[in-house]
Amino acid sequence: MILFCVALSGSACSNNQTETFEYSSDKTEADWISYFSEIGHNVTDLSNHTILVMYPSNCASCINELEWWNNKYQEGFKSKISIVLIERHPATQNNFVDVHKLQLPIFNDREGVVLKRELVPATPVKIYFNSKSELVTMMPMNSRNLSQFLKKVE
Amino acid sequence: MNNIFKFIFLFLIMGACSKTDPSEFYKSEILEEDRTVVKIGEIVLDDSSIDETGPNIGKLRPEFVSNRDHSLFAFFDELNMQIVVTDNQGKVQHVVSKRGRGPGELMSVLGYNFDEKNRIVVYDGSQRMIKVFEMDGGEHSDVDIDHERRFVGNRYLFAKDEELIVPVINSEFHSSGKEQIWQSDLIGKFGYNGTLLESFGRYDPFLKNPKSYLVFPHVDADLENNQFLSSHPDRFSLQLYNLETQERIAWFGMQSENFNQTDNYIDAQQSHQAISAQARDLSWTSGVYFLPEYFLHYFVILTEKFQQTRDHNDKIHYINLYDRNSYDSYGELELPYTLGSVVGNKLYLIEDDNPDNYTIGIYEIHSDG
Repeated sequence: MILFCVALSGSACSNNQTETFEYSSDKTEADWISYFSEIGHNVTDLSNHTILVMYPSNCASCINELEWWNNKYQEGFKSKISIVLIERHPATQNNFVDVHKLQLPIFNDREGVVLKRELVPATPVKIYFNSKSELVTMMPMNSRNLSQFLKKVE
Repeated sequence: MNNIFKFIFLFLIMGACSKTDPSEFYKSEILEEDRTVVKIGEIVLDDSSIDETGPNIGKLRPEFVSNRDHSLFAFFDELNMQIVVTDNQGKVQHVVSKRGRGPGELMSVLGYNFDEKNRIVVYDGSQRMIKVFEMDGGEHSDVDIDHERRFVGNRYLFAKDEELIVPVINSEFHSSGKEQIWQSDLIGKFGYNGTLLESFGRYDPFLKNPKSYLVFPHVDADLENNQFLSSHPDRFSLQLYNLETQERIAWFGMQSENFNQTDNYIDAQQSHQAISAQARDLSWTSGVYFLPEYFLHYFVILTEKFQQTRDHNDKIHYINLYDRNSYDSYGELELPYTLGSVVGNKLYLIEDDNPDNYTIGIYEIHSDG
């Protein structure tokens, strides 16, 4: 029933593909560092880093997973965790942080450059870079594939 | 002789009244007169009435609704799962509900609207519940909806006499694939107690040959005249039903200049990238509306920029206006911004969706000359 919501805008939570698939990516840490530079963030090292890429209004299962990651961050997780939030309005971003009581660091991407540069194929997704800064896995954020994702996290 | 004239006169009158055979598709003709869309004013949402400890406005869904006398508007805040009620000048009057699965809380709103008592009636698609809120947020009811035979089929809801009128999809066709879905009933009526009262109508017969997996209806209801208008995302054709007799009154439309359709079926089983790429630069029906004189067909062209920013104003917006009597078209008009609602004879366009400066332009349709 959620099929119709935002599928045409490339939402990974609105498509009925299998929920545990992985996206493939040929993008490197250098591509991501260049991207962060374009959106105004000085990031020089992505080793051992989990990145969540999403819009503020992604679907309920994604929000559940976001809250899980936020708790893990506060407890002290074995990798760094950050959010790339695609949102133009600071007021909406601030509201998003308040509503979900987020402690996670947020990189704001006003114009969806992460999609324009084809670093991710859809949102919401989670990505893990290992200790060698290699992009190990990219999966939809939907809670149901968390254990599969965590197996890849060192 | 006199009788012959009477017969001819009656024949002509009947011919004019039944210009379209509802069982046949009527290809609308272009009317000579032009129409233009003219801005007549704007409102900016004003949430100063909410005290500092109260909820902020997060991200409003662009489509909003008005009550019967057009004195109140209601917006759905997708971030906070709350309904923001304003007066028709944009001043916030009430904020109803919040995110959650408890009584009076919302998880995923499909349709919502005012009923004739100015209560806010909401269908929560995630909880599959009907939630009815008194305006001040004090009293509310939460009931499960009967979804055995009919699912609620899109983000529309109309409420009258303790009944919901919603677009539906037959449960047996929901996952049956593209071949059968056109056979689904179109309109469902549910009681406020969640009971399915009846369902009727049919999806557009052109969906026998769908262009995409996105078939869920876009609809509007004219409750005063018991009429119901529908279309589907990849269709330009419209169906008009009588809510009382349950009969189709007309099936009509025309493919205007910028209504671009695909030749290849867009399959839900493809990757997200493939779906986005295929959908790009195509036209998608995004709403149908009753105006006192017109049927309005609203469609957008999805751009790559929209697919990156999700800024609805990065789409290209068009309307096609049809005469309510003849079903003929005044042609296509481009809108400068996202169409948020049609209230009476006015179009409300979302000019700026920044919650700190949420600006809605008010437009009218003028006839040239």
